[in-house]
Amino acid sequence: MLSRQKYPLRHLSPPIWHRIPGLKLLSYLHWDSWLFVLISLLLVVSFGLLYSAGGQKTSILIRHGIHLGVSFVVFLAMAHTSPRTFKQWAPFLYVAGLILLLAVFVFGSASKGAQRWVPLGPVRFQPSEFMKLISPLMLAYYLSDKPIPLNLKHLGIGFIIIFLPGLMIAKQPDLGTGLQVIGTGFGVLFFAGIRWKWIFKISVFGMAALPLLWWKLHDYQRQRVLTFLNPESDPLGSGYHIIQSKIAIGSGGLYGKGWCQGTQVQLNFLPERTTDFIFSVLGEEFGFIGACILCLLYFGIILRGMTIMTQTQDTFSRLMAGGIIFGFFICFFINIGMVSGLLPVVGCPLPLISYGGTSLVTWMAAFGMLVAIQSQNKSSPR
Amino acid sequence: MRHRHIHSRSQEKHLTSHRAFVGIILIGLMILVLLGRVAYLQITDHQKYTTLSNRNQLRLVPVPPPRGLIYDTKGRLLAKNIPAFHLAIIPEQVSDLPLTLEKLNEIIPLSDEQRQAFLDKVDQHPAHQRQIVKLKLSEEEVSRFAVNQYQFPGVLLTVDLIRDYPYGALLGHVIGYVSEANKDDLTKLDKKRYAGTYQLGKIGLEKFYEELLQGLPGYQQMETDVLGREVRALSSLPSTPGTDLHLSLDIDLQAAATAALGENRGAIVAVDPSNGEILAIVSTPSFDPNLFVRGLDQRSYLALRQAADRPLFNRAIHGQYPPASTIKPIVALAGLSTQKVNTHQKVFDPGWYQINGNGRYYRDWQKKGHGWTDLEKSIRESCDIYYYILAEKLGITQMGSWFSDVGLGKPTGIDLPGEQKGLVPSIAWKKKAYKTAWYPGETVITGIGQGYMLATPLQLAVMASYIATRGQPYSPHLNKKIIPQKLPPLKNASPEHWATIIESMHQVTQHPRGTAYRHFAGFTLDAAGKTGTAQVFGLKANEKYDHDSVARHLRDHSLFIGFAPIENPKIAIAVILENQKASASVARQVMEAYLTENYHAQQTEVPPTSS
Repeated sequence: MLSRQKYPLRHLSPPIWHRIPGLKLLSYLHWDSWLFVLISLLLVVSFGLLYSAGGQKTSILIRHGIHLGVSFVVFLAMAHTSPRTFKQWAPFLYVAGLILLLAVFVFGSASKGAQRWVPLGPVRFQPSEFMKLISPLMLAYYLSDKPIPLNLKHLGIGFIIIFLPGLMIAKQPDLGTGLQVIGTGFGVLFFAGIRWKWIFKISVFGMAALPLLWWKLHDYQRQRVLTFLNPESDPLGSGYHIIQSKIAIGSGGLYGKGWCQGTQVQLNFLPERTTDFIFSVLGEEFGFIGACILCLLYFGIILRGMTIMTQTQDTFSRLMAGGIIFGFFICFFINIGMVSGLLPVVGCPLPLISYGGTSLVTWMAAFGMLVAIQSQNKSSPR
Repeated sequence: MRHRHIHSRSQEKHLTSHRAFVGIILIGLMILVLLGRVAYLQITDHQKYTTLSNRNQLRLVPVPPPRGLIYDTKGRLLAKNIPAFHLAIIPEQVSDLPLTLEKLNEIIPLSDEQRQAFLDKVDQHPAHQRQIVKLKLSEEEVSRFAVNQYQFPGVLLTVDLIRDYPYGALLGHVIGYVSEANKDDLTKLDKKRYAGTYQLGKIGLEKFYEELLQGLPGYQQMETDVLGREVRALSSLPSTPGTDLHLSLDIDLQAAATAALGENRGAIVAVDPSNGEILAIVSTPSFDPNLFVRGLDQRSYLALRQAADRPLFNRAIHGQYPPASTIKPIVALAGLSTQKVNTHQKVFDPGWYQINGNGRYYRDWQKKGHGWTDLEKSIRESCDIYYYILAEKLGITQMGSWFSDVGLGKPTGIDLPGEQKGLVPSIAWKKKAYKTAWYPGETVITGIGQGYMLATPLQLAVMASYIATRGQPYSPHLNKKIIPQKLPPLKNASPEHWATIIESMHQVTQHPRGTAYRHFAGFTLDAAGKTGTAQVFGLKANEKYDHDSVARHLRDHSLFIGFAPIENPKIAIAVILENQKASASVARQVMEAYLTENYHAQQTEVPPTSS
């Protein structure tokens, strides 16, 4: 029994590498080899693209490495926390997150016309990024003991949990992150067993509400939507990003121009090329093949996440896993849709690839939680 | 309706698998949509985008906006933009950079720093981008290079606008200057707004109104080849020039005031009390702001910075001096208003005063004293003993609140950066600053504006405006577009008391025994004033001060506040002369210049010339 506890199901005897002294410690580590390999590959891609986009300087790689180091510690900490602890913490984190969002309005420093950052000693961070994780956590907490299918009251409260932070973030104004928070929430509802009837109703209502949303948008957001519809109308202003991004991706062709050989990237035509527009760098330098490989990696991670979710017994953990996977996908989808001209430019990093500490920490924490859920599955009898 | 009543675990598991399956299908489809889009760009439209990328590269070159101009009250240009020439090199067109630099050095001197900075830039940028070698060539250098240009392929002159201050040192402190943005500035600047602009306001009005003066850059769309070389200019978006600034300052008066100060160190602030507009604000010695625009080498900068008479120090708003006897009218007003004194009461001045009749002697500036002195005489002859006694009666707290009410000890709110706020001492302040109790002797000397008290010349000009307007002045400002704001009025004084104070100050210039009588001899328009002498170092109880025997930098400062005419004052003024006498005559010259020029108030009889 003891060995069954220590070494999960399929390993009735310890693996060979546990005989090497020192490495035995690794067996105590919560780990998921599939996720580890796939995420590592994405991070390799990230470093490669940043090297090219940052002008072949090592300084950005060093900063990115530091962010990664911090994220990895957070990842391990999360992986070794019991999902029950997440559940206990969910309401507190949620309330704290809301307070921080309020703090952004009060003390936040503006960056590029939007208040997103809260200064915390020497570090500034974006509470909205963390909210991507915390609001599905809260939703999973709330729905974990509700009977399915969800009744109207529970659905209503679920909506409040989603829309309260979602709208606050959209108001900052950060439409991209706001949409992600709301989208992730819908993901949780979907896996919680919201009826198909309701899914259709909400979709229709959402379509009808679009004109209303337009009316509530900030000028610069409207400008972005208009630019999205016709980027050539304003080539010097807000259309510039998207035109240059499309040129970068389109000129990459099937095989790309080669690493560090993209003229759009290297001659500084492509704006925000280390952050939101990093996919355009990949498109230009590695072509359609590169884009396919990247999408495969993301799809692999999503598949692995879904597998973990289906293996999960406990409702809270299951919804949590569903939320994480769906949020990850939404983020990926919005980003690539945006830089390829399929969606308006809303400002959204490519998860695990774009340069930026808060986003990296958030997603590594999310995958830490997934690994924690996975470890719980392994150790609990079926 | 499929899962209306799911209770059991197995049913939940079934739901999860089902939803996960649907989810994966949906996600897979959406990823295919993305890839379809990318394929459309990269395969279907590949040719189109390759063409755009190769032949039709567009580059946005920022066009910096012309900075807003600065005018004086009569529309004369105080700060303008003139073209400047810079020496630049396109590295890819030069075969041997070090040799070229060596040859260039013979016609245009280049420092080692400049050469190194240039070579660093070349390393960091593509070789087709031109890099500046030396900014702002002199006219001589430009012509020398023009003659020899054929020897230097790939070396060229570029031109842009730089700031020029035609009045130079006359306005160095007020207008300030623009110069290269340093690292600190660069982190704070809005990069978009400063695209193409490399200078910004560092001090004075140039700094205060930076937001206003800096316009918005325009852009020129350049067509470039595949390596990024600019081929030709396409469309362009013109820049938006910065807003012009119209000052209340009168450059004639500024020049007259500067001339009146001469070689002395000092400051003058002249303000129109009826609206708070600054007419002249001078600090001497000054510096030529054009030096900073054109770039000052380290040694010349240090020489300016470390000069003993501190030319970079704006005495008018940063200099804090004991206000000395110039505050006596306010103490007298406080005494009258709180009925501690009346106009008839007389005090005998033997030349000294002792608190409670013993202890330390507090001396009058006039050794033998002023004899029996009433309020009018106390201001006219600046009797110290009268104010020692009055200060004791008022107490430091009450006196301090009157000082605060006329604007001392707090910023005046002028539209210049970094104004000092002076100091009105209080018991609480001393406890905090020195951790000791307040002594009665300190109250006594505060009554004559000595001790801890400090005020800037600007604050003294505001105080003079308070008296000139009988307690209802306007906030001082240089920008004429600012709607005059009233300062908090001084409510506690009655019109009769103001009349008494102003009449006494009138006598300072008119009465033969007035302290400024001889300085104002022949000044036909009624002026009110008050002199002051600030001790630079403390005398021992019985020590005698002798102006000529004391080292120059330890000599007393001379101060004057005043206004003219008495009815409907047009000018209020504060003057300080460091380590010099006769600030009253400086003030007279400034007032005379202003009133003669603008109101023809004092038509000096020009004797008929018989030619």
